[in-house]
Amino acid sequence: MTGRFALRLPAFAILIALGVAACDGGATSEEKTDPARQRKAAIEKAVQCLLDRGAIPDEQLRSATWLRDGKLLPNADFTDWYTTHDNVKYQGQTLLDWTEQAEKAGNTWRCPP
Amino acid sequence: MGEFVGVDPENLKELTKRLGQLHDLLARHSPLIQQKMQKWGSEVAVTSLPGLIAAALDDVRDMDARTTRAYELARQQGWSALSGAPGVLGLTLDRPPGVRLDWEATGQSAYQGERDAETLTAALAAKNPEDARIALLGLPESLRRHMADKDYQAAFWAGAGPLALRAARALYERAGGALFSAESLSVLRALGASLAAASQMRVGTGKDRRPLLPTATRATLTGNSDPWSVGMLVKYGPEGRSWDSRLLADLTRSMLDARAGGKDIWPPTRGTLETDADASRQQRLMAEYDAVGAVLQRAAENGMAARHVLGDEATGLKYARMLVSDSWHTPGYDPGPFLSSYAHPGGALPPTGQVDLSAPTAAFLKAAVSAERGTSVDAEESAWSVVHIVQATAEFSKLHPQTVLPKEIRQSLIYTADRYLPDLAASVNGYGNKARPHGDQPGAPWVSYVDSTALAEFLRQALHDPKDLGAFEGRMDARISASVAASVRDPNQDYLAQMSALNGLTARIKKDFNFDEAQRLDEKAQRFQTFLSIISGGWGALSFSKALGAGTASQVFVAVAQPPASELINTDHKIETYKINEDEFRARLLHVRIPVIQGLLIADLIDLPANTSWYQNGVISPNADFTDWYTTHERVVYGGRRLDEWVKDAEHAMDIQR
Repeated sequence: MTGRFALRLPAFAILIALGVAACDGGATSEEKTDPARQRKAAIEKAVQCLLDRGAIPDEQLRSATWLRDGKLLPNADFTDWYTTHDNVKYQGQTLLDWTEQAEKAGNTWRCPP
Repeated sequence: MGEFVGVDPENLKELTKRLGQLHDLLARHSPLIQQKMQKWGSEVAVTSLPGLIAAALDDVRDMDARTTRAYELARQQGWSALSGAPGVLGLTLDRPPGVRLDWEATGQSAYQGERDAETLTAALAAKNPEDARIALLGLPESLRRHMADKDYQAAFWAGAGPLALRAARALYERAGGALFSAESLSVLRALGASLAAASQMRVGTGKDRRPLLPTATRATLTGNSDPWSVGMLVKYGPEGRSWDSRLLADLTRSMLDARAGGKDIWPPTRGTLETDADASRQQRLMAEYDAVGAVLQRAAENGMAARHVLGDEATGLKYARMLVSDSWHTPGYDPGPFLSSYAHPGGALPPTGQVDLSAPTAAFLKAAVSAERGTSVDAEESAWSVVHIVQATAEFSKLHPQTVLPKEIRQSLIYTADRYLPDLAASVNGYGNKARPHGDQPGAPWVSYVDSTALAEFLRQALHDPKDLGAFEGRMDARISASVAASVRDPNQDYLAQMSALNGLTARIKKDFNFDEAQRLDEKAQRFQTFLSIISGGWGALSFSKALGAGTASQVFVAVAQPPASELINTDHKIETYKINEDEFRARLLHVRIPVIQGLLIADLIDLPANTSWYQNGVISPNADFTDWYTTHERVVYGGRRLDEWVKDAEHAMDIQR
């Protein structure tokens, strides 16, 4: 599983960097069968954004196996972390709210400066 | 060497018999004797009576061993039990001659164990079921008498081990309706019971503590040289909880490996199959004497054994793949040879006459996910079992996109989903497959996380039947009260949002199924009926209030994971479908309010006067007062949300607004 994400993340990062709009552009056929791929993309964007802004207190990240050099590498431990923090407020709104905004805006969403 | 004494074997035998009878009598009446003595205020100390009775049993065993040895010595001196007396037709019974016996050395049950092992070995090696049967007539009784006797057990299994495990193949009947005679069944039952008892025994202390069963015996058990015979000992042995869970787990693995490796796991074929009826009978015989199923069944009864197998982080997935499969049936037979050449000119036909064997497999899968949730090693294995079962199901679906698993197996998948519902709800957006503690709080229960793609495939396979899907949705809806209360008590986590995500996924799966009108009605009716019967049974209050007492996040999670008790669920949906459709919208709105308010009551956020007409004994029974109360309280804030917001979130979680 990790291998798949290791492959996907760089592509994903490039898409963001170029501001490419097509959502399914780089998706493999396996990803197309994942009914959660849009939601997961939004989760990753929202959490990465909060990480970049230093909005998540360090003590909440102490045992995170899904974080390397400030980059989110989602795994099952991340599923657990997200689930147990989805109603925690970061910079005024809950993680769920952040995710919903990112999902609604799709590829046009940018991490607020 | 002890003291040699002269004995008359026949007298010794009689003495043993009477000693045995005396022991039986004492054991039977001991409770009454003690009771009476106490009642009468007797000065006689009766507390040592149980110990004396146990010692008497030891004496019986010792004497029994000496009797066996005495007869053996007599035979060595040329004596035979049945000899033709000169000039007399037929046989007369001869008294054995007197012999000299090492009284101490033979008065130990280990000696009897060795002798019994030799008897068994000789009988089974004879390869004639009739001879074996006669030679083994006394064995079951001896095995039963020494069931709890470590010395005997160690000596017996060291001596008889490998051959005893092949007893079934030596004893089966070569013809007739039943595969085993009554005597053979008695031997197999006694051997199975003895093996189960021995499997739980340990010898040595401290570092040296080890299983009583010799390594060689255990190696033969799992060595697959004759898996069918081993399976028969397990089949006729005791219920699963009487076995050592590790041994049953090892046995399960070896049976599954043998099956996967194409080893002969079926009962022997007797004679040639000449007619279609013969071939069909053979299939039924295979089902009746199914060795793999027998072991799976015992492991399922044991519970922990199933969890050792599927909960192993390294090998659990491999065995889950073997179990989650549509191959659980007898192989079937080619009907071609039994057809006239007109009907069938030649060539192999698809196999026919297969008998379904998925029940023990399904029971095993259920047992593997049935540990009580919490922090124990058992809970950890159970959580890993869930992960592996979901992965294996997803892989099966990927390899066989058009195949639906047998109903029994699908039911066990649904059972898994019910027991681990909050875990799966969190996995709707899951990354990777793993069991781990929930969050990083102390005392965190073990949870299962699976990848979102695997979860979707798993649910697609499990919920294939519209009625199953409806019932599952109904049970999910009924957890609204638990999810409301949990979200209040564990404010970091939004359980309603997670349930909503799971509902979204099932809705998507349902759309893919493209049910026809009748199926859609079935699904809807089942969902509503299940939901109604659970919440009107007051389930939410019953199973939740206690667990929320201390209010820690771990307890909240375990409480949400608690599936509704199935006896409370009325799954018979023969209600008037018309009526549901007519009133559905109104009724559902009303019934979302009930679990929401139930949840807030459980979380202790609403204080109701004692005489509230719509809330009695923890159950809400809606009436006009209830409607009034709701109207006057819908904008009151409870646990951070207005009542009408809770209802809106719950409706969303139940998918009503979609």
